[in-house]
Amino acid sequence: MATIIHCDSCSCQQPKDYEVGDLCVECGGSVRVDVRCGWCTELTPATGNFCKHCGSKSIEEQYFGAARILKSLGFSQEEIPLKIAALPEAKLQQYQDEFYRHYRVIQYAKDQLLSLSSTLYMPIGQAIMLVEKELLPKIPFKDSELANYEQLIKRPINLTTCLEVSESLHPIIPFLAEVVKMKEIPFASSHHLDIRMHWANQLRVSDFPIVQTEVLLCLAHPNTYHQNLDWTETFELIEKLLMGKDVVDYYTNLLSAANTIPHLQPYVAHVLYRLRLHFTKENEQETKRLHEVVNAQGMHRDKAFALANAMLLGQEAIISQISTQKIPEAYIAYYHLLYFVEPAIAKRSLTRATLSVFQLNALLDFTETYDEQYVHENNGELPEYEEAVHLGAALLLEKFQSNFIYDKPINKIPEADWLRYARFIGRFSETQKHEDYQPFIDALIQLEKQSVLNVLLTHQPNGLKFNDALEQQLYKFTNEFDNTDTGFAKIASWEPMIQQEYWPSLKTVLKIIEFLKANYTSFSGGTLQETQKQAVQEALLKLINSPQKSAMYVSRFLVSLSLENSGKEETWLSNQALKNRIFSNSYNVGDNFSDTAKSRTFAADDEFIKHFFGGDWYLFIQKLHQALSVAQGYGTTSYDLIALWIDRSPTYLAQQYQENPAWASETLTILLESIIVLKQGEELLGLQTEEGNYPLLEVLATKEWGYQEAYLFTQRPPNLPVSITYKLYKSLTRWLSVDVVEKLNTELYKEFLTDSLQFSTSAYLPDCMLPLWFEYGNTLRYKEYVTQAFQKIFNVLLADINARKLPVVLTANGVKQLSGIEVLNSVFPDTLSCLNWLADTAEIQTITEPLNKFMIFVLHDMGKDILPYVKTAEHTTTYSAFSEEQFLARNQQIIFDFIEKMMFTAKELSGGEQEIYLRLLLDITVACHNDNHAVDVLSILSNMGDLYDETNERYEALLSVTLPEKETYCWSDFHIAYSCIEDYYYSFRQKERWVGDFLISFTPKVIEFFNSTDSYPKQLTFAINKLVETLTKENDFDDVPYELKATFRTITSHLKDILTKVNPEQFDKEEIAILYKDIQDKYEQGASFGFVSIRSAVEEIFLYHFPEIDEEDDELDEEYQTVEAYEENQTTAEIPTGNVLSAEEITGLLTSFRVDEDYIKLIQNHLEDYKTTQLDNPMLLSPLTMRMEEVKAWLTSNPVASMDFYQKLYMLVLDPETAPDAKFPSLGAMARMVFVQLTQDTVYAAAYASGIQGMLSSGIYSEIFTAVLNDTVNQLNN
Amino acid sequence: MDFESITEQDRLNFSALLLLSYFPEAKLDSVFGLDSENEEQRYKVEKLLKLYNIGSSSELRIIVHNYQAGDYANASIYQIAEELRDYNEEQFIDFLSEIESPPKLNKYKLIYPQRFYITDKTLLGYNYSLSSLFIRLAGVMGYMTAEEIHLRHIDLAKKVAKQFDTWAAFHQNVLLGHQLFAYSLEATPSIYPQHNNLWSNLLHIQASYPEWFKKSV
Repeated sequence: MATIIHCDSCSCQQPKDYEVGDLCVECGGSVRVDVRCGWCTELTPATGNFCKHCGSKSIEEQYFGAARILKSLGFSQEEIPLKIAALPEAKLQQYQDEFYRHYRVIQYAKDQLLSLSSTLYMPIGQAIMLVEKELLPKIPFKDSELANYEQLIKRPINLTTCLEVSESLHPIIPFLAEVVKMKEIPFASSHHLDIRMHWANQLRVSDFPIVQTEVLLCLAHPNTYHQNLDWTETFELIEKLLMGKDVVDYYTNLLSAANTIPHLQPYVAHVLYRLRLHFTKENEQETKRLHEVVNAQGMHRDKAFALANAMLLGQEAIISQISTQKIPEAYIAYYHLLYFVEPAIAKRSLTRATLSVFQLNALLDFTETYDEQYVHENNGELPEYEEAVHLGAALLLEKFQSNFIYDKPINKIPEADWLRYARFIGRFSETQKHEDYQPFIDALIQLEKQSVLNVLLTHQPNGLKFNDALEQQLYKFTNEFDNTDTGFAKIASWEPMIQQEYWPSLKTVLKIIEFLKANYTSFSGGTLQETQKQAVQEALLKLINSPQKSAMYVSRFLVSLSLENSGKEETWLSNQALKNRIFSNSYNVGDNFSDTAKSRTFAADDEFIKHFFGGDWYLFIQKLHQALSVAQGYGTTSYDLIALWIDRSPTYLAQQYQENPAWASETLTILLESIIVLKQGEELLGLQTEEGNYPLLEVLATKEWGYQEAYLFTQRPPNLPVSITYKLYKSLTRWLSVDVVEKLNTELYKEFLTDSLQFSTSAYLPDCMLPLWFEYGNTLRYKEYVTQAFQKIFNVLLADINARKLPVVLTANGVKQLSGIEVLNSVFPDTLSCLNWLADTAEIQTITEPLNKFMIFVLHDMGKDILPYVKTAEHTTTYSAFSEEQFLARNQQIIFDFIEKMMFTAKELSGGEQEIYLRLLLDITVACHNDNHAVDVLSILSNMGDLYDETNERYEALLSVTLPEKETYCWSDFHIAYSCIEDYYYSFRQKERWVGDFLISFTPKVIEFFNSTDSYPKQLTFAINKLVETLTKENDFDDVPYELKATFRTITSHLKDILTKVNPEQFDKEEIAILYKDIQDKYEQGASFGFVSIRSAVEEIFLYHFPEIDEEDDELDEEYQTVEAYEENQTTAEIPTGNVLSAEEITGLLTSFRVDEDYIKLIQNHLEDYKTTQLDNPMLLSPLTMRMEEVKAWLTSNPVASMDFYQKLYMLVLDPETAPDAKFPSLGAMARMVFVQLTQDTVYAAAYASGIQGMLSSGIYSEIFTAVLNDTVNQLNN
Repeated sequence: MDFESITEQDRLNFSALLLLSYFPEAKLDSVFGLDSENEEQRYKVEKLLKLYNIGSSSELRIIVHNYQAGDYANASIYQIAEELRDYNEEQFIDFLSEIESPPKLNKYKLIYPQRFYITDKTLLGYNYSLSSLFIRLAGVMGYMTAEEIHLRHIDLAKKVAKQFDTWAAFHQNVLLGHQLFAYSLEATPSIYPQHNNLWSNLLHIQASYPEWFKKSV
């Protein structure tokens, strides 16, 4: 096609059938014929000899192809015309053919463009020229290229092939195809693109002005108004693309080419007006003009353009009118009407066109897109909108009265359309009667469109009656149930229908059950889709709740299924699903039973058993047993399902067990296995009747226990009532008490029982377990782990020792305060064994054993009841060696031994504990002391005071309170006290405090005792001797320590009280005589204070017994000389020498002094007292100074006595210790004075003076003493 | 024997023999005899006291009281001696044949030669010595203070003086008592004199405190 004919004036291409002389078809101007230059392929006037572009010589048109080939072969510009002229015709033809083989490709592209031309606004010629001009120089193509192109050009020419950018021959083709696509109606439904973005994109990417013009002109197409899109953003986008240029001006220029074409001018005006509307150009005149242009196009023959104008200007009448026409634009128009909810107009339009196919499409598309949104936005209250669509639905239904729908036989309507129709009708038919549906349904039944029927029924259209025919059609099946997959698919497909309560007939249901039953065990649901499984389950769930008779069949099937189920999870209906979906709901009884409640839950009550087990509870229990013995896998077992039923109404089954203990026992046997091996069924143990009984646990409690039962016990439910818990613990205790050592080593004990045997407080500890502790808490008999295990259990009993009473424990009748006698009675068969236990314990164990601590609490609680309890011990042959009394004494002794042992070992306890237990022990001691055991009591008390200083005050107070409580006292009470007086003395009053207490506060009691007839003189003698013996020791001290002083005073006052207040008759006559003598002796030897104070008392008693001596020695008595009178073999009156004189005696001497031999001798004998007493007391010599003359006379008359006296005095004077600067200065001064006065003027004076002089000259004395003695010598010499 | 003039050391020596016998490391010139701060010695003392059933100060005081009152050792031996007193050797052998317990047999055998001595003099010396020992050990255990021990020994000395005339007589009594009690458990009582025994301890005492015995002679 080398020849192109253009109009000279308007450049318009001329038709093919142009002949020379024809005028331009467009403008009527002259036409110029152009040909392609064979060298440069540019157009050049056909009439010239040389090309106007390259200057080559013109070639005949027919040899254009040959020239192109020759050029490709390498011939030069000049050679080609010559060559053509030279070559033979055949050869030229060959070249020509070669060229046309390649030119076919260009021709294909041109054809494509031509096919698009009908829907484009602009003339296509320009585009064709462009394509040819660009492609021609490429000829000839390379062989591979050509082969590729030949493949391409084989394709049919249509929009799809044009759109393929990658494979198209020239880029303009897909661009133009896109423009065509934009004009397709409906646009959105076919491409699902946002037309705005599409439009903007095309405008941007295409470089060809023709394409851009075409794209711009699309703004005049109604598609751009479709769905009332907002173009603001899009226009802003293109404004940005123009980089600040004026949009309207720019595009006006672009459209100027189109504007030259007269029939396109309104389109251009439309586009410009639209742009101006948006960009608000100031030129109002131009805008007004454009508006008028647009307004005038209301009845444009191009309906699409007319619609666009109407939509731009909002001319509803025109839109409505277009919507009634049977043209594709009706779709947009009607859609528009619907969109703006102009229901009245839309309805009218609908009635007028009786629902054209375009209207229908618009309706369908619209409802599919916006129905949900509308209903949602307006809460479903859109009466007018609804009315319009309802009318549409009604009209559509009417269409089915004929066999042709829109000129299409109904059996040719595609499935998709059927579904759309059904969905639309189902959704929007409201006011129809059943008959109205009939044609549609008949058609569906006729065509066996089951799925469409499903869709229709899903929407539950009003007025449609579900009759048997429909049911048959709906639930129609042929041989689907022969195959598992199809069978399940079938049931799954029915599921929505069933959900809509379009109940299948009994026959169908039975078929389903039969199918499921057959496929349940053999078929694993592996190939089944999850949705299908779900659908089948949902269907079954719905079916069991249907009011139909079939409901019970399904329910029974499911129940039986669950009982047989092996728990495989991969099956189509797993137990998990059964449990979670099916059995968690209720089932409908239907008319099968005359129950009042039609709907029931899956709960194991009487009704349930009646429905599914023929009312036979035992059958149910057997099924339960079977289920229990199936091991639990990873999923849900059938037991889980049964447990679920039971869990809903546990009291019914519990009641059955209660009434039939045999069943309970049977179940328990099964449970022993299942709980231990399979770890399932624990919850059954917690079955409880309405009265609160636990039938299974009751049976368990009464059984003979083994390891299994013990394990079962550990699995018991929490928070059981006291009665059953107690029973169980009792059984456990019974079991534990045999072979406990072995049992403690078992895993069962270590892992499970320890928890059950750990009690948070003692209130949870059953008292029946106490004997276990007493049996196995013995650390010596059993290994450490045994005792520790029990200690762990019972430690809780000693948790609160501060309370100082026994803890509360769990008994058969609830929580109760434990009492000591109860403990002993429950733990020991008789008193004797209790005593044996105590004896053993006291022998080898200490208080650190918790059991012993507890025993202390027990004994403390018994208090005074201990002795009666001990007395009840039977005197058996074992102890026949004892008499009855000895036996009882021994028993009591055991108690005291125990207490004593515990007390001695209490020092191993910590401070706080120690105090508590000691006080408890004290209380026990006090409570059970009696006359026979006073010694023990006192021993214990003294030990306690001895050991624990902290308790001293307490125990002393206690003692003083306790002992006076006794009504009478026996000798033994006092005997030990008197025996311990020595200790009291030795320990400086530090130890044996109670003796001190005894001496002070018991004096009246002692006196009362000694005055009574119970006492013997021997006892009194013992007491007095002990006291006196202790008092005697006072003499042993030179200086009595302060503490002992107090001791002696205490003893003295006690003794004095006894002596003065006890009836003298009670004293032993001989003993008192000895005592009297003893005291006299002691007194004369220089008695201590104690003896001085009791002396008169003893004397009184002595005189009571020996009155005759009293009379005889009256005078002597006055002078304290009774001793001499009593002693018959007493010789002359001899002042005893021996002890020093006391200060009192010296004072007495001063008053009673007589100048005779006795007194002189007395003074003489005591002159050296100072050496013993270390006292500087000159009083001894005072009597001499008072009667100096008499003494001197007496001494002169008794020379023998005076010699001795002088000698003694002389020695005193010479003693260096009597020096003024020595120890006894006063005595020395007195002695020297007396000595000088007595010897002065006597014959001895000179002799003594020279003697002293001699001593002085020896130089042994100090200077001072020498001076003093010199004075003495001088006086003597004078 | 002039007991009033004896020193504190003399009084402590009432228990010297027994103290050395039980505790070779004992110091005779200390009041307690042993070191109360020394854990090892304390433990030994505790062990010995436990043999005599002494667990507390109170028990010890009672025991001391009873020993000094002539109970226990003295009483039981005196009883046996009185029983054996009238037997001639033949009768004694017959009497022995009826006794089964070896310790008892040994005891009887040991007592028989001494029967006249015991019935005459009793075993009080041994009792006193033991009580002195306990008193001193009580000091080690902290039951008694030095003052109390002093007081008790003063009184004990009076009792000893009442019973014995010489130190020799006293020690003879102590040795005999110790022999009867400590060695009645030996397989052959005759081993006693040859053993490391109180006799050697007596020598030990003589060597250390010669003047002590001079007084008694």
